[in-house]
Amino acid sequence: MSSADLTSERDLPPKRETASKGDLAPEPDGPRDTGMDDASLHRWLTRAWRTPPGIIGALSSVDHKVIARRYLITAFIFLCLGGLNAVAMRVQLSGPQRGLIGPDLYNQLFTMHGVTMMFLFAVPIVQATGIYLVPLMVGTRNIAFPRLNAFGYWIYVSGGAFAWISFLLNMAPDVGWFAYVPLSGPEFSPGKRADVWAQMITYTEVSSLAVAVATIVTVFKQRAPGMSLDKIPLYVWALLVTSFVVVFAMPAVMITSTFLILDRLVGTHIFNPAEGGDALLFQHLFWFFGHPEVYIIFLPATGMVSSIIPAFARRPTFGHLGLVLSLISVGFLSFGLWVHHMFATGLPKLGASFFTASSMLIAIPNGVQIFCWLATLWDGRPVIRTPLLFVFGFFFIFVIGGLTGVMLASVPLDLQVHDTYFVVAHFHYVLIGGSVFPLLGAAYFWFPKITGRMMSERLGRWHFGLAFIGFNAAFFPMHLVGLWGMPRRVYTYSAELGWGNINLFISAGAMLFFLSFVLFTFNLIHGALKGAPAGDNPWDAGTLEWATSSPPPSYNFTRIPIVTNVEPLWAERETLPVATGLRVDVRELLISTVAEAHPDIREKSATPSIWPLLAAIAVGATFLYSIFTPWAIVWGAVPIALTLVGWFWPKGDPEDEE
Amino acid sequence: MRALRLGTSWGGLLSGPLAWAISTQLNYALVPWQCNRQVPVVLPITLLLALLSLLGGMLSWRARRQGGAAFKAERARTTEQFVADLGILAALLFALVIVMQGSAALILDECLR
Repeated sequence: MSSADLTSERDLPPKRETASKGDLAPEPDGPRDTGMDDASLHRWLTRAWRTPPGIIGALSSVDHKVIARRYLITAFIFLCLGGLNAVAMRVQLSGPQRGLIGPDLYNQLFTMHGVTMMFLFAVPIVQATGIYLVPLMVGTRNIAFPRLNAFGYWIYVSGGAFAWISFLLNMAPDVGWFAYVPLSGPEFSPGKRADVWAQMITYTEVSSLAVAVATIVTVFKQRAPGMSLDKIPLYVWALLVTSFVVVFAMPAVMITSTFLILDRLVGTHIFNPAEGGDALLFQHLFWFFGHPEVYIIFLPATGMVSSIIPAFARRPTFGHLGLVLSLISVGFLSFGLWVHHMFATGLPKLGASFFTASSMLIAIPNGVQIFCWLATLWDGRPVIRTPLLFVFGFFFIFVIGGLTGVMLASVPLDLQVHDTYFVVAHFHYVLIGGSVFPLLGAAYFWFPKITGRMMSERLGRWHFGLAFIGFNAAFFPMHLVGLWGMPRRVYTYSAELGWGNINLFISAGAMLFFLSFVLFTFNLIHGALKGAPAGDNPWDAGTLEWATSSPPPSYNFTRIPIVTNVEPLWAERETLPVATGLRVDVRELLISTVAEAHPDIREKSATPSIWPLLAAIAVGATFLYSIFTPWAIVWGAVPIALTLVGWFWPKGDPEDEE
Repeated sequence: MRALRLGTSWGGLLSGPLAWAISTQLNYALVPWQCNRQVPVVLPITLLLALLSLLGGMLSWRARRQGGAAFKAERARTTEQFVADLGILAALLFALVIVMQGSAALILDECLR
């Protein structure tokens, strides 16, 4: 085994055993991994990095894998709930004048479906996958700011519970997932439903921002030695770009929801034109977030595709540079498309056309990605397994969604089909094709790493077949019924319009799609309990997460790997070179430089703590209370401050004393 | 001056998105102004900003050829070239987007709603 020792002369370890020092900063005299045998190393590292036992221990966990697993399971539960909303709506729309669901409940159903899928499923699940995989892929032992990461999860759970308990209390938002004013304003939405929308947004966005910041720092500063910018895996690039998009997009929607709450609760008139406000400002602010949101969901999915394809095509990705350029340029361009959601608001045509141009030209980097993936497959020796099947499904569905997107970028067509089922079909093709299919492929691909067991390949193929047929049967006819004039968000329609048969067909397709998820759930549970043992690298893939055991130990890597290639495990088939010199008795990370990932300094990583949970409870209670009175901000500041003081209380680190 | 002479690898990565963001925001805001005063500003601004994007790309190009002003001996040449390649391509792509945006002013009347 070749290795590079990070230990300098002045801090070579004298052989003295020290107990785990918790939060204490690394001192220069602790035991190091240099020359230590694997068994001792495992013992030391397990003691330093494990999550403490018991309920308090579990609630205090800051292990990125533990937090990510919770995120994944919670987001999956919300996917099921949002899916059930959709099933209920499709049953109601399966024929004309069905009386299963009334207009009031239907309004809540489509709002909760959109809100749940966008804010409680799609964004959290792509971020959760990143929380699990990014530290493993960059070869570090934990995510940066692990307590902030834990805090993000608790805030997300409380936001989701808040929305769904409101739904159970018949208090769910009923103003659509983008809650336009004046409909959501105080005049047309008395009661608390619109407030629930506004505050639920705040919870989930705080959580997303926390995860984004942790991800950015992990990628910039915690990469394994040698993982220079040109050797970063494409999935990690995708998560990095996504996290920046989150940081710049999410504040816009938090401002929107805060302004709405102010209008509703305090009596400001920010969105009230009668008092000098501007209703259109709401749409600008919302869509400045809302369009990048699509790419927040889509870009990580492209990263997943870029991981799955080389593993099964048996060759490195074609056009690595082009794919990185695509990710970066799509990240930027996503901020210049928002007005295409507002073509029907009477904006100047010349101004709108700037956004048409950007909307059409974002197809160039996206097309480059598709080309690079196809070229990789073309030049490789593809092994067709379930993850790759879902990637094929992604190609087919996403390209159709992209083409209807280019159609909708044109103002005249958009005006004709605005708010019809054509738009519903388009964005489901983009979001399900562009994100859910890659996510399903990713589930099959990384499930063995997370659980140590394989999912059933046979059930996986059935799952793909059902999902692909069900999805297209459900959503393709929506293009047609939209062109025939059926508006979205109607709870029923009359028989004379002639939409009955096609809607029955759509509902049948939706049921098939739903069944595919039942099969998927069974496969997940069956795989976790009885799946065949996976081994460390069942797909013989090339990135670092496959270099450790499945599931990975609490400390991820026994020794920090050194990266020599974008697919390090393919470049170093025999043994991966490793760096040594890190302390093993405390949680210590290797911090590297941004561009070349040269080893720079050793840094402590936070130990488990209950304070993030307590802080999240204080923040969550304040958000909840604030839909009733603005004084909640004042009273809530006290417990929030107390919990944050507890969280940040000096730990006696030598660094803090300096 | 050293940065101009030897190039800056990230020049295009900065200039492309920046010029495009300015183009989108400024031209969008200037449409009503152009309508009221009938002074054609959108097209000249577009061309200037496309040029700005390309200038950054040129700095990246120079960095690729001549090493770049920020390059130090301990840094890896491949990383610097990777960033320079990204810069060149980003500058070209964003210049194209800017030109496409501005070309709408050749066809559409600024007062049309």
